[in-house]
Amino acid sequence: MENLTSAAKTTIIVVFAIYTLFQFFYSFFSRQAMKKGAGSGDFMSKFYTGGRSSGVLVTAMMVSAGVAGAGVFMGVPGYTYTFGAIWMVCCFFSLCTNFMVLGLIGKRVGIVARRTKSNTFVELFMNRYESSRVFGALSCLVVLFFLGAFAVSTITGGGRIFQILTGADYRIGLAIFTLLVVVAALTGGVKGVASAIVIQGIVMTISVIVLFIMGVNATPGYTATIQELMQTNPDWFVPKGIGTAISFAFLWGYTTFTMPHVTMSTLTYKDTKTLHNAIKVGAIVVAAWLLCLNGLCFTVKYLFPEGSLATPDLGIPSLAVSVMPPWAAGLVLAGVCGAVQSSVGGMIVSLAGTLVGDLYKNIINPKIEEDKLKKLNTAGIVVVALVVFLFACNPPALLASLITYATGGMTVAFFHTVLLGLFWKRANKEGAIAGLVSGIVLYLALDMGSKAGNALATALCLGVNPVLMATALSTVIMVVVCLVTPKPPYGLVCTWFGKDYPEIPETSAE
Amino acid sequence: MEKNQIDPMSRDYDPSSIVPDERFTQTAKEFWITMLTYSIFVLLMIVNLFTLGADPGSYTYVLGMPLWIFLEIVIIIGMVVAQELIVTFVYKDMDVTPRGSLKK
Repeated sequence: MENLTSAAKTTIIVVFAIYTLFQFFYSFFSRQAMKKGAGSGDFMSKFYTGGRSSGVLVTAMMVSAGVAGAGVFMGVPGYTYTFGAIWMVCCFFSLCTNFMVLGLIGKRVGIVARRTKSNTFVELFMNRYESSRVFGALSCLVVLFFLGAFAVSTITGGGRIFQILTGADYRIGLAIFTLLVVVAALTGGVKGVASAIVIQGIVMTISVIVLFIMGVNATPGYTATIQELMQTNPDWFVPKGIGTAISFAFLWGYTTFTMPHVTMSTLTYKDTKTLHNAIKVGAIVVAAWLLCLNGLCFTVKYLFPEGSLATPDLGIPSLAVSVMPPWAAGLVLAGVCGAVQSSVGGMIVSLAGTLVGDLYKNIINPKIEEDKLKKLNTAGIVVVALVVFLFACNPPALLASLITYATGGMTVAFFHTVLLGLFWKRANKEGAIAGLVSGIVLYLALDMGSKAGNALATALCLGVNPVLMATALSTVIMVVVCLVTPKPPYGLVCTWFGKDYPEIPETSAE
Repeated sequence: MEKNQIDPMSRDYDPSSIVPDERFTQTAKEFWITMLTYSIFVLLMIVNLFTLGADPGSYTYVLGMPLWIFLEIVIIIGMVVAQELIVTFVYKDMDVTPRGSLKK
């Protein structure tokens, strides 16, 4: 904020610089680890699955941080500030992220990914749907477009926090995030990004706890704050729109597994003991983040009356600079940047994997040599990061709506194709393609229709987010199309469901 | 594979003839338990918010905070505990290699 002294700014920047340098150092250290050849397999599998040897912390943090990006620091607190306490409750629906990703599909994906030797989310489900290039290409487009939008909105949020805390141009912040992510990804592949995520997660955890304690200390007491707010803003507590609550229970809970950068963790974990412990650790870590950050919504609302914030989503960072000593604000900056970098890091690896591994190698040119692929992969990471960076230089105002739109797109495309693919033998490629296309079309039609005031579209949504209805209808469409078209091939169903299955011959790239 | 009488590319077969992997049976069970637990959590959160939280004029207070906020915190902590218990006692360890099996 404007009232920051230059000495305070300097302290914040120094703390942040130490953290950034530490991360660079660490990335190069993990590069050594990858060179020693931990894990087995070819370059792509090493790069994208780290030899399937991820430990507890890496797995837990990859899921937790993948979900808790700029949204929990800015978007959702901003909504809570503007629209009331119901948003705080909605945010808690992402409490079970680890449980709802690793617990729901973790083991199943782990086994079939090993059977089919798949390195990415899209590759795995392309295999399930009879190596259909149409399904593969459509999935790639969905990931590139929607996950790309998600990455842009996340990194933008981080950049704006950087601007508030340091007073420097937010594009400098963006450039630092992008650079750190690219260095981590290029030097260590998914492992480089993942080990950075662990450090970022730890810094984030410490910083939110410190922020919570200092934030509450700046008020007359936690419960006194709530009671004061009850007097001044009783309407703020009234829950409005049960549809909103139901929508976000769906979007931030049931469908978390449709996000490729989160589901990536189910491709990389070592064994089920790791998976179980990751859920246990993740449950506690995410609960701590959400309780501290959402708990601060009362404090923010109390300390910053209506109109005293530049935009509502700046509540948490404004709190950090106004109640904390500069060294602690620097720590919060590092924590926020950690959250943003780990989300974006996972997304960029996922996007590059989709672009190079799926779209190019599996669909356009399966015969590419490993050397060329390596170079192309490096180029892919840089290009993806650069595109995200350039888009982010033009920031959107309210972050959460963009994030919701992006996750919605992945939900309508992957909810049924993933679940039915994993748990229903009868799911075939015709059904999957129909489900994916109809999901996206219905989502866009319902969303635009209800926003434009179209009566039919509004009625169809039943007062909840259009994603829900689009998902439900396209799931029905997928089931019907599956039932009227032939069964998937016997060998494939054995691989995905049977005890015994035919080994995939090495030449089955087609 | 000689073991399979049916051609892997065949689309004319009885899906129930495929011997299921015991690990898949277990993961399907875990899937439903996970879904059910989360659904209960969501239901409690929403019902609490829209009943006890509906009218700020008639809030009752526990430890200085409105009852519904206190209960939301209890539900959240309860859900964390539930996750720990389910993962420890309901989920089963298994070998996730291609031809692995459940660990007894």
